[in-house]
Amino acid sequence: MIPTLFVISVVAFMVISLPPGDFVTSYVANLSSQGESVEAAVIEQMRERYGLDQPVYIQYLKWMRNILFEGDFGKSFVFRRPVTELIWQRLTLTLVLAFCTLVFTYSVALPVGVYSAAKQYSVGDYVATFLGFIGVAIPQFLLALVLMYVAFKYFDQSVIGLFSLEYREAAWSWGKVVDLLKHLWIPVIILGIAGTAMLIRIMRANLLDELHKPYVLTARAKGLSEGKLLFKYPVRVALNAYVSTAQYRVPEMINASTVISVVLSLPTTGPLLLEALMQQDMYLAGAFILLLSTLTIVGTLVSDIALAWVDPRIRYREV
Amino acid sequence: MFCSKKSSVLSRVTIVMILVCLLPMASVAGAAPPAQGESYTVQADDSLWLVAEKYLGNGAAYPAVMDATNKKAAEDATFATIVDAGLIQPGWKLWIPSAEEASAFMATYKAYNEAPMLAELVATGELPPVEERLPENPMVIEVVDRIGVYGGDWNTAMQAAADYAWVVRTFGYEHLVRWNPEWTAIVPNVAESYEINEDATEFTFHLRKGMKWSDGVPFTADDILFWYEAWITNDELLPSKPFWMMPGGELGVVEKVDDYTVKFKFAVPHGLFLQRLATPDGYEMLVMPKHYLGQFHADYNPEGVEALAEEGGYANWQEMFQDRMVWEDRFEDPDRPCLYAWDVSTSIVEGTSLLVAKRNPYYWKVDPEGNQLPYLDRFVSVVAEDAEGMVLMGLNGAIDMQDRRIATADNKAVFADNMEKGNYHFFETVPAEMNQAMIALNLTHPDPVKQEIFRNKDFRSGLSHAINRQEIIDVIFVGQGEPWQGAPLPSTAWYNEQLAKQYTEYDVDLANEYLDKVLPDKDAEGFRLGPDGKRFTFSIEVCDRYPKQVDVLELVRLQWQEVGIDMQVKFEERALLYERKDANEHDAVVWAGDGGGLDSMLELRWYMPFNNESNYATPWGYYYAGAVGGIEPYPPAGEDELEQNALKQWELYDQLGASSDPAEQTELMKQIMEIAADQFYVIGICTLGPGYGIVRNDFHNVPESMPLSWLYPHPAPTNPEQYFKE
Amino acid sequence: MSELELEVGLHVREGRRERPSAQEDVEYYVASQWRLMWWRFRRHRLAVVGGIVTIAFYLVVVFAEFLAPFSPEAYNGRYTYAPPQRLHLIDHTEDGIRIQPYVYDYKVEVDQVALRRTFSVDESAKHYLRFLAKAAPYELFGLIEMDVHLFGPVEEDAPMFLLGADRLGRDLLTHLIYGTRISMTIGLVGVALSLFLGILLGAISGYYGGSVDTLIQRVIEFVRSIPSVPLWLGLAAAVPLDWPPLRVYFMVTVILSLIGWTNLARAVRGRFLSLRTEDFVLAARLDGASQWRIIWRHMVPSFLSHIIASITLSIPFMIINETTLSFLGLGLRPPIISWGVLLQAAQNIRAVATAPWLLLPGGAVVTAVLALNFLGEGLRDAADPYG
Repeated sequence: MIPTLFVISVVAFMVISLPPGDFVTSYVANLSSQGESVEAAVIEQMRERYGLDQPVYIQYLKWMRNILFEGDFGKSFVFRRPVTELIWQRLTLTLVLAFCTLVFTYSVALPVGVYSAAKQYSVGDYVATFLGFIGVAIPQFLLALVLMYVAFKYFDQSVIGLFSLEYREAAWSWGKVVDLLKHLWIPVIILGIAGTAMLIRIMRANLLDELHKPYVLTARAKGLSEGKLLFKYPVRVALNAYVSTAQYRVPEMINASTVISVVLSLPTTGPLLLEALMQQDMYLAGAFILLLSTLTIVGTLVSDIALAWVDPRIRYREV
Repeated sequence: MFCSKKSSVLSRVTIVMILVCLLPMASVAGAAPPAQGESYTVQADDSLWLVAEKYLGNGAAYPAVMDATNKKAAEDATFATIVDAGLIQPGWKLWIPSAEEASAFMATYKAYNEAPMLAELVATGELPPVEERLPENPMVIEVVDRIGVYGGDWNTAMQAAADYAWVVRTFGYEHLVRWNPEWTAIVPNVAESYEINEDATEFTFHLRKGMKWSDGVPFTADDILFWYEAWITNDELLPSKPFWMMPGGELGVVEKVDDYTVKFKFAVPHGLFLQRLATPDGYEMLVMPKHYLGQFHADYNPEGVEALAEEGGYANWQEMFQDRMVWEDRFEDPDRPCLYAWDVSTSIVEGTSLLVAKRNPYYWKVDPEGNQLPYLDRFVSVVAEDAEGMVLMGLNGAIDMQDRRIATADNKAVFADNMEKGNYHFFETVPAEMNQAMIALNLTHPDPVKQEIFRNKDFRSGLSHAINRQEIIDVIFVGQGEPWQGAPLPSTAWYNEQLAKQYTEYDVDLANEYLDKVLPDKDAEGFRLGPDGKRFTFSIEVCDRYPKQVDVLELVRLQWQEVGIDMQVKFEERALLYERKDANEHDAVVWAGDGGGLDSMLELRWYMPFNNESNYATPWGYYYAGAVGGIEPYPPAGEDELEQNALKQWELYDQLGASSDPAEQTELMKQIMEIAADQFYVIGICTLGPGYGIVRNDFHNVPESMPLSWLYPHPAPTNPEQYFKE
Repeated sequence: MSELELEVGLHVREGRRERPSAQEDVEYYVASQWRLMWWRFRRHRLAVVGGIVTIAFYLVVVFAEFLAPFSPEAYNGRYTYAPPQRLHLIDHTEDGIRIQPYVYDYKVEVDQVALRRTFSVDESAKHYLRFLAKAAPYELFGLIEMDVHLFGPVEEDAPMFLLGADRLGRDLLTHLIYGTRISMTIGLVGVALSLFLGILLGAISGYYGGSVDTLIQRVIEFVRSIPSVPLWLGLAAAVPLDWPPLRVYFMVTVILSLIGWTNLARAVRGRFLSLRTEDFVLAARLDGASQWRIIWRHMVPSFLSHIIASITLSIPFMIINETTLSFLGLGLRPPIISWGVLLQAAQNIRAVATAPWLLLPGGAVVTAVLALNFLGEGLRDAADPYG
């Protein structure tokens, strides 16, 4: 895990440095393109101050040294604040969004997937298949944009952000939670819909594989009730493939939420990450990539354990 | 243009101020106070002050006379109605109140009004009374339509975090001097007046006595000196100085004459100094509260500064101080006192996706009736990640007044459709930009073959004639605009018709004729061949954020095919485009035509190699701006006509900078434009139609039309502190 | 044989297939594996529809120049943002009624306040359409020079915007057809690549286990744990600027597949891990079959269905990813026309509110993705050896 993280940190830094130019270039270009200007003297000074005049590997080593020995992930160039502070601010809401989406996804996908497989080719199966695929087929940003416009045009609702204006600054209260939920459902549906569709497909495919296995036939022949027949083994086995991809759900969700968070202006990590990358805010972007990667790796561990728990064949395999 | 004259309104308010100071001691018992009140007819050379002094024994009691007369006038039409205390006419009939009435009135009379929220704080003793918060001579702001009412928020939106230019454009524009709303002159602002010596080497600014920072600490000459001493002259913190402080290459000197007077001295004449101060460049000296920022500087806080630096996670105090000097910091640190109408209380780095600025209780401007400004309680800006979200906010009526980011030509149709629903209307903006798209071939191309062809004026003329500008205007700009080269607009005194209109006529035959002189041979597909016998191809780089310019290039590409020119369009991310042109790696670049209005005297990028934005000769531009670019900048060698003329233009502009005479400056601008017309550095397409912005129907005092530019950072010069909601 | 009986038995029980008559019975028992698959595939009606639609899309890919009524570069400044015209089929003239498709022209007015053109149907100007109309010349398959298009206006430059026009007055239908070519093919290369990598590495990892597994797992972990958005941004920005658009297109595909293979690899590995201990694998091993033989002959077919399901889900994902890349401004760029590029022009409130027909490429994406998915679904069910 540690070596993987190390390699990731190197690659992350490389990926961030790949685009031409540096933070100062994009800073200046940003202002310039608005017809606004900064003095050349200031530019030069900025580059020096941020250490951008040094080779990339020196920048990397400095960054790493600070992380390892001082626990200091550096400062964001754009915000001039410690990156950890910035990420923490947004991480809570991001996780809330990811969690709600997960709950939504699984609570829809599991039953529908099982139903779809058990009643293959029924009307219900066709409908689930159709809706599921539509969910995969619509580009999320488009769905977000259209939903946003529909909300404005027909419901007079502004769906920008996760809070209404009056609650943005307010401390947490019951009213604020309700306000959050009022805003949360649109991104949850948009984000969840694609994941749900995929999970339904996987569940259905796996379960169908299992249902046609001899042991099922045997069980049926022995007169086991259809419900028990379904849930005793096949569903458990089919869950295998579910679990083996589950560890990517949270990071994937954070990833996928980037695009729609931009469209819906959600105060999640996504837009911050995107902006950091676009503006080449190296330390912020670097810390983000490390964080997301760590989440994934931890998830992998958890999922390997879960896999062994769900599927005894893996647990007892000879090495 | 540069002389300062106090308006009559201004002096009237001075009187009010004196009155306020005298009030507690003044007894309104004069030499001959009428027992029951009496009428009085105004004589020549009379003033209300004199009348009050004569009858009530105290000139400061004139509001009592004014009030009594107006009350009388309501019953009896023979009495005058006094609207403006500074303006009474001989023959007007006034009513002099009795001594008791006068003193009763004066006991309740207040010279200044304040917002209810501040009055509450005054009542609880948390704030001193408004008279003490305002300077002796507050700046009086003319309202656009009418006197406003207090209260309400100004709701706006910003795109992503780094959009502080919008804050600069709204309330971050309080400089020593500023542009007047019409953008025709420079007017005093933080400085109540100023003087310039004859050869424009010395500028003396008189600050407002009693003016205070937003935390109540007096603002004096020391704060400006702090900027100069702690920052500008500190070579460690600021190795290279702002160019506008360095005419002739020598740093200007700032001196404190007294607490309220500062003097800027330059070694050579600095004819454009005041203009510079009125642009957004001039902010820095006025965001430096010594009592606050001093703690971050070793010279002012030798004991505590290192501890502060460590606490803030800085390697040393220098880094910390430099961080405070970044231009965003004034909007990100809620503790930092300011001189603005609204003072940032919630900064966007706090994770709320919101910028909130609250009314500055010490704001030093009043309306003509003595109401302390601003009218609006707060400035609130929602940080949206995407412009489309901001557009929806606007359509929904969630934006009170804004044009930035949302008011694109494309969006106008949507905004027009939803006017009723969103309860807003349009205001007009008049762009100072003179061109939608400037196609700049690289005249300093590193490849000698391309350089020679691009430098050939016949080539550029041919390309220009081959562009069907009217078609571009019709297709892309819905008929708005006029075929135009890179030339200042007719509203400027140095407008040059030849520069504006030459080679704009669409004429394929003429274009071919010109091009045949340069590249006569064609290949089988009809494309022109270069000197090496291969098809002559070049690319134009365009920033992918400007879809209109992309569209223009797409049409130009097809039109140029008709005359055998093979041009490729390259889309680039903005930073990449900058890096490439800074490194002089580009064949050609397309960019907007900035600097067409009054700002063209300060921004000449399209008229001569002026700075790194002169895309047709970036190394020269860098050299002239004295800046460091991607490659080593160099000046024109003076070898051909083009290079000689560029050098000649530099000479003329240096003269202009050294002149303090507007007439002479205009004359020099004309000469520069003549050379520009002769050289034809760059190909333009067309002018811009008027822009627009949206303003809610319950949001008032926004001018119907305003200039649009960065150097005139609209709408700030139109005094947003007098906007109000009702 | 017992397996086949089982098949039949299942069908009967599901009641989806009438019990075959004696003659059919014989046919059924002697049918080849492919034939069986075809029969089973046919039963899945949505899959058949999906297959037909997919074939149609690929026909459009091949014959784009012929099918598109205009050249993709043609623009008409008079008709910027023109809405779709209604297609009339039956013409009422003085001579009577005849079948002759036509469209009405638009009356165009410029609204200077809203900065747009407003269109009203001009019934006085009819433009007749015909099949095999002559218009812009092109080279079919890059070889045959032609100027005949499947259909088009009788007068060559008459305005015909059956799906509306874009901001430059270009025909959306034409663009949609050209976009199909790029978008429907961008997935193929990428899927092939990621399929190859995924199955190979997943199989090796799952079959051998041990240190090989650990190594491959680490690589997968590593690739997967780099968040894709930064990876896209970095790699897309690293594509050299002077590359021709087509090579950029290819690079984008490779980038997409480099990220895409890990999904499949992990799924394959999971399958292998549990199959390794199955009896038939053990039997094969005891039989002395080589490891490659065991993998490819015995294990891979046993979860072919899963792979097919993954592929059919992968191609649409490539299509969707392509549009997302375009949204981020990283994908294909004009003058290349793809659905993503077209959608990029439509992803603003202006288009959604006043020119919703510009969202049609989104409809094309949905249709293609749906069709591919149903097709894959049917194939999956048909290929399932236990089905």
